[in-house]
Amino acid sequence: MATIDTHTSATVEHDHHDEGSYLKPKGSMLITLIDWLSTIDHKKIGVMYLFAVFFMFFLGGVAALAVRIELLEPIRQAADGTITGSNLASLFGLKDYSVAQSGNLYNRFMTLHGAIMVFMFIVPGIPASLGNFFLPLMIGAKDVAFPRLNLLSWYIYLFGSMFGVIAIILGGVDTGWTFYTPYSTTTDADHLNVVLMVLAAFILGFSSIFTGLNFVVTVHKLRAPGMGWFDMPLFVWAIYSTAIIQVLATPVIGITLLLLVFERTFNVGIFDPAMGGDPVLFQHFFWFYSHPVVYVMILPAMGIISETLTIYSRKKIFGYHAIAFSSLAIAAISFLVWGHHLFTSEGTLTATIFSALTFLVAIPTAVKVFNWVATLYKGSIVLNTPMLYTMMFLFTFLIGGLTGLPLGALSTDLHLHDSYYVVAHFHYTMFGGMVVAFLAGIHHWWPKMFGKEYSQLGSKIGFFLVFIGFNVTFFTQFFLGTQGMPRRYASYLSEFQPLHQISTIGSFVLAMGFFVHLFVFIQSLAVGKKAKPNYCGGLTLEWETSSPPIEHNFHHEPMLRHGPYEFADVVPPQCEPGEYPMPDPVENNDH
Amino acid sequence: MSTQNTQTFDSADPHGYHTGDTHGHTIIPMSTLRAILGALLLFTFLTVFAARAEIWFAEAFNVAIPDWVNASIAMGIAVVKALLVALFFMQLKYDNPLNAIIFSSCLFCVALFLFISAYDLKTRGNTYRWTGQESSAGGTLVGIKGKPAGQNIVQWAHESYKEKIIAEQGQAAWDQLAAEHMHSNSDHGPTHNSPAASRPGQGLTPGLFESGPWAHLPTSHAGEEPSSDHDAPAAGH
Amino acid sequence: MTTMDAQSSESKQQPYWKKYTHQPHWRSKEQEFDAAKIGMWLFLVTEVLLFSGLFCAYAVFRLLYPDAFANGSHYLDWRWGTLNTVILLFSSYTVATSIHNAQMNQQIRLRINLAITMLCAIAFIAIKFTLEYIPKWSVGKRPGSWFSYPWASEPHEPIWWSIYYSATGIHATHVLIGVGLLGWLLIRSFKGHFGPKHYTAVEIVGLYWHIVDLIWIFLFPLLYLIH
Repeated sequence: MATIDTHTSATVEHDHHDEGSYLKPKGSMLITLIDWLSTIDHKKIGVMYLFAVFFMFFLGGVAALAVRIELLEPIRQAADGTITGSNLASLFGLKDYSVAQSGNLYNRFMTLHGAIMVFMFIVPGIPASLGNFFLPLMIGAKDVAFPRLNLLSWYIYLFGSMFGVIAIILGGVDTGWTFYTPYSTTTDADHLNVVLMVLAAFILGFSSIFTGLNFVVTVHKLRAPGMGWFDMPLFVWAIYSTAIIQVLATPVIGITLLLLVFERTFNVGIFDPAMGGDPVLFQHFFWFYSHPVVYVMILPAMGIISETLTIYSRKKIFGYHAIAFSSLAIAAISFLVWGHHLFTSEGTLTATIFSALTFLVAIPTAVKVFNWVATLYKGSIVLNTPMLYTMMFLFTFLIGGLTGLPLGALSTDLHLHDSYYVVAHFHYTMFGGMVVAFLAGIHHWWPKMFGKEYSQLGSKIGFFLVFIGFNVTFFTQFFLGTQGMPRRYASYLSEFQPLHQISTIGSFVLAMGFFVHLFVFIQSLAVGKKAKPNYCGGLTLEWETSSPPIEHNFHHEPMLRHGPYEFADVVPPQCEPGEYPMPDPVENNDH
Repeated sequence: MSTQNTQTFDSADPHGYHTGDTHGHTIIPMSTLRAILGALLLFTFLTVFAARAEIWFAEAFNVAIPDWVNASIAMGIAVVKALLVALFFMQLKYDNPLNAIIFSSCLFCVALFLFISAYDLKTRGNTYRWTGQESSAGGTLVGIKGKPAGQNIVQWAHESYKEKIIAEQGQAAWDQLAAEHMHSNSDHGPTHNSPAASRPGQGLTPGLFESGPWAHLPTSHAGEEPSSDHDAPAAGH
Repeated sequence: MTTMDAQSSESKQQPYWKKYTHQPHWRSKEQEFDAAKIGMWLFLVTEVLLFSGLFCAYAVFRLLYPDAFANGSHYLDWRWGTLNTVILLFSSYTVATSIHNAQMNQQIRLRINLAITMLCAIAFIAIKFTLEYIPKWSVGKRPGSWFSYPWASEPHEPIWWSIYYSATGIHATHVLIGVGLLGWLLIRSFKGHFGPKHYTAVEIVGLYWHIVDLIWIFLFPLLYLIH
């Protein structure tokens, strides 16, 4: 631009000399470590987020297995006082645990699973790790708009997670991840656990806000020259819509949790009926954030699917504009439907309105699914691990989405609410949607991020274990729910036992699948073959740099020459991915 | 305005830095800033004046002024003031329109959040009364540490204070104190929308404005004798 | 660079604001400035939404318990509220003026205006604590279960105090953060960091300070004037 001074242009040229991979160590172990912990490079921050998020997923997963172990058999107390089925207590070797204490232990693990998975894994999951890494690359930027804020948000994430971990070490929380009053104001009145956990969620909210804010500005101001709004990859559209929700919804959970902390520490009584307050107000506050945040969880997943589906069908996406706008539509509608989480506690008229509005969400979601399926039609589909996960997403997310409709209808919801049907439904959307797409994304971009290929065979074994394990675990829960098994209970009627046992077996198969994936990734980092710059034949800008990307992302400022999915125009027919003509060969450097 | 703007600007930056087509670098002349400050102070005066005048009017003529008059004057003026600050001090008028769009998007969310939540909590009991009403006004202190269950906290505060005073100073002292505070404890009741709804200002800091233009204004405070003119409408009631 | 003195435009060394270009991932300084402002506006959106929770709680309880809230506003001294409003409005004016000063390279006036803004913020806090919080707290007008004021006439008055202390307390926290930010600006302005070519930080903190003022513009009539 005209306003750049001459010495500015000089500094820009200096950047070209640093060509090394961003992963290249800066010196000794200590110096490299300090370099990573103080980096403002979006790629490194993305990778650090990725591992932090993986770790939290592991913690939450262990808690989930504990929950399933407890549910293997119902807790029973015989006439002579012997307690059977108190599996968690006996697992930890705790003797003389009463039924109530066993239930309490179960509640803590259940809350642990929910709170960790929601606040520390699903919400930051895709945007903060893959989004951080690929959003700037995909729009041809050198970094996100505010790199230091980006690092700060990672530290805030760590800090918040630390609060959560301290709360767990001090004995855990048994309120459920929703912190509903009066559970959250009355349990453990003498302990700090709940306050710490609530503060953890509050702090994590800031991390989410800063990430979202950063992405909105990045998309607005840092697109490569020539990249209009409709030249952006759909993953960027999805992350952009997500970021808008993060900015608009997260502050409300901030004030809600802050008021909850005031409630517990100062007894302000705003949510406490004993003081004249109103607990339903808390539910409104909570869900005004937490419903939109459901789309923070799923929108980036939809973005990943839009990428992998096109690349591995070697076909232009069907209905680019429809998918892009449906992301924005979902973001907008997400603010209109929070009342469907409190159908049984809010007023009848409000519930009716919210029920009607809830069905609106189905429209843009269905637009996406139809467009994806239409993209597959007559594509040359490559069935590698990311594509298998993409297919699994279409399958499981469809089940998750359609089982949501009976919950959005008032009359059926009265039967199904707070039952295992709800549990199964949101696991099919959260796990079958977000986690599956996350896995698709990681397998799709892993060689790009780390420059190493992974074993296709190993990861396919992992995929089948995850697919079978997931469906066995959660499909049974639909039956449990319709038969009347309430959620969040440690014990149950004996007739539910076979289905619970099948579900538990499925959860262990699922865990095995993840360990296979973990092994494949470690193997890839250790002995993986070097990956080509464009190993899967993508046309978006991240494929124009080497794998792994160089420190400054691109060898020279990327120019947009074609749309993100113009496979028919750019790629000759019957061309293997590795033989793709590079739109802008990496080797062809100015120097 | 604009010519003055360019002249002063040139002297500060002779290199013609401001030749770009960006939105962010508008220099707002001091005259505008001063005028906005003046308007803001004027509106502050107006809103306070309106609120005080209403109380005076209701008390002097013993008439009921509906709630919404007071509330809409106050909020209307607040909106005008907020607009002035946002448009001129925060430069939204001169700025990249994107910023205005961002800001108004949040107002949409606020409106949605506020109206639906408030509407629901107000109408929750319309179909089934038991879902909407407090079983006991002000709560019963059940489960609140250090407080006896069974009465609301306002009653508790009153009763425990009474016990304390009687124990320390005797029944006569309590009777005197209670008489002094009768106006605040029993006169009003559920009398919203009535002249008595204009309550005596109890929170005015005592002794600070006993002379000067405020001398005639109510300065009663907990522990002081309420002056007779605020009791007048209540007595009429 | 850090020991830049005030009349730097005359000194041989160039002042920071003239030398500053932009961070390497931006294409120009204009773009960086624009982005910073968009980012700040997004942050202001989150601030407004944070307070919207308090406004929502206020609206709900005002609808449910109008009498308690009518009493509540009469417990407050509208004169201190007015004084604080005038102080905040004036500080908003001085911070807007300081941006004008930075744009015009009026270094001395810039510092004076920033200092006045900071003093106003401190005065606001001082009035809030010594003349409002402490006298009220000491006679038992406290939130929730801390409430012990014996002469309340409506059973829901503790809720009023909860909302009063939460809303003004969170607002006062923002004012305190503002004091810190203004102090940071003041120090940087003494180092000559701001001038016609570079005043992003002044602009950003200015926006923050205006939003604090904006919130108060609504809190003042809601708490003190509506009765």
